[in-house]
Amino acid sequence: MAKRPIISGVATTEFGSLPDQTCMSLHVSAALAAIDDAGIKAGELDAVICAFSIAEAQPMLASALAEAIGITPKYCHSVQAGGATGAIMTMLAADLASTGRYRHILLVTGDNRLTGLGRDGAVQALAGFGHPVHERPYGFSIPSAYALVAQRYMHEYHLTPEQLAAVSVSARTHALRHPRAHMKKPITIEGVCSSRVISSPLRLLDCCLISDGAAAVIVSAGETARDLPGRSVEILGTGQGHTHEHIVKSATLTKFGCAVSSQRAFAMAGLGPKDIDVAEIYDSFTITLIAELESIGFFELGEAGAAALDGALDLGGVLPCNTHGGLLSFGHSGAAGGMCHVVEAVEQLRGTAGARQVEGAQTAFVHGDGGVLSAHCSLIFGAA
Amino acid sequence: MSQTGDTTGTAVSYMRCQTCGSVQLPLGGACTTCRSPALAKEYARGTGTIYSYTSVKRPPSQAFAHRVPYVILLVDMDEGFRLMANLAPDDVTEPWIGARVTVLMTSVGDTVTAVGRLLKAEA
Repeated sequence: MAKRPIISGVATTEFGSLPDQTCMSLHVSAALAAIDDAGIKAGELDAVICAFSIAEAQPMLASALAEAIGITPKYCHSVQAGGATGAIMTMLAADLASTGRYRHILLVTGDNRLTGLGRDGAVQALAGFGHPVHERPYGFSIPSAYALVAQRYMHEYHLTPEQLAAVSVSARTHALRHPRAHMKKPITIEGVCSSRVISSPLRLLDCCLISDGAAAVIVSAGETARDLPGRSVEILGTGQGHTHEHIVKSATLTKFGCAVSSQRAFAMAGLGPKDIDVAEIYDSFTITLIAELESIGFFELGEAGAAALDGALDLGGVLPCNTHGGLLSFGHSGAAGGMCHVVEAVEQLRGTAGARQVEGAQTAFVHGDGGVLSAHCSLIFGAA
Repeated sequence: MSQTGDTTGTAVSYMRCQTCGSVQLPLGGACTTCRSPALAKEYARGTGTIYSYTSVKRPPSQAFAHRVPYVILLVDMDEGFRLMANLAPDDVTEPWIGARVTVLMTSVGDTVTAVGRLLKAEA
């Protein structure tokens, strides 16, 4: 059997307000740092795949990045799947590496969403994810769409605001251990529950950040591991699940396509939820994480909220989750938000997560969600 | 710009697939269940049940700023399809899941959109 593809290099920039950077300078910083981390030369890259920018949109971001770092790859294009993009790029790269035609594949995501657009500008641009006839005319926004999910979830499962707040507090506590996280101050359940309402029942601290920042990952063919200086991480399983694009067309607001994407990834890896030591799961809002944890099967339906309040997602809990602080507290600049989950999973499995380290972590689960719980991609990594 | 809207709106329309019978909002011209192009427009009676809702305090753009707070509804219409609507601004401030509403296409400013009102009493 061919060796499984590996992740050979990872890097993130700092996340936060970075007014001296542009979307492209952030891409370049992350790319060069990942190349250095992998211990390869830029000329050894066979493929370059990027995502998208909304602050400095351009039609061919991957080509522009290849140009900016002076390489001429065999394979080069961008990917667009909303927040699932980072995970889907990683899945695509794993499949490309498995063909035997591409040894090293550079994946770069990033944007200066905070400096370039500001919070208002970003929310306005993201409202574009709503259907132009059936949703946007109603004052649709991404927070409102997730608020509709939260409201229904509270109705069906008695999820409480304090349980949602526990997700936010857990993320913040993790982020305080990360030197490059956007957020640097602690928060409390009371603080989350009294932050201003954005769209009921979601409050400001239930919502992800708007940051500047970039993340890059190098996926390599399995057989390159023996020639690389660093510790690589194997990609054991991947899977996607897609049930709808627009929330008005989702059959349910409490069970999502991550059930299928994770089943596919677990099947490929020959593992189940109980085998996972650390999870990095898309957390655009507190409700996003709760819904995904349950649809995937890490917790029974209706129980993830109480588990979060009980410390399940913290270091030392049954499922340390978003150990870098996630989108809620580490940073979210667009596709890079989800790619940071990939980077954190790799650092955990290499044992280089420092104060955030989950002791003895051997397997990691990563999940990306795009649209409004529309597009899902699950990845399972193992320490080599 | 009128806040209350026109209380006498027109019927909400939807599509019924002549091949498989499924009812849906029009998306791309093909049935979203069986891909048949044989879609016929029908008009809803107007009654439905709130599936979810949210009261928006932070609008997505300046265009909606003057309406804040406004309520977005997801309504399961009795004909079997779901739509997004706004609760009439002069209705209750906080509806509830399971509430019965009537939904009509109503003039709101320069556009015609689906506006829901709680049914006060129903047999």
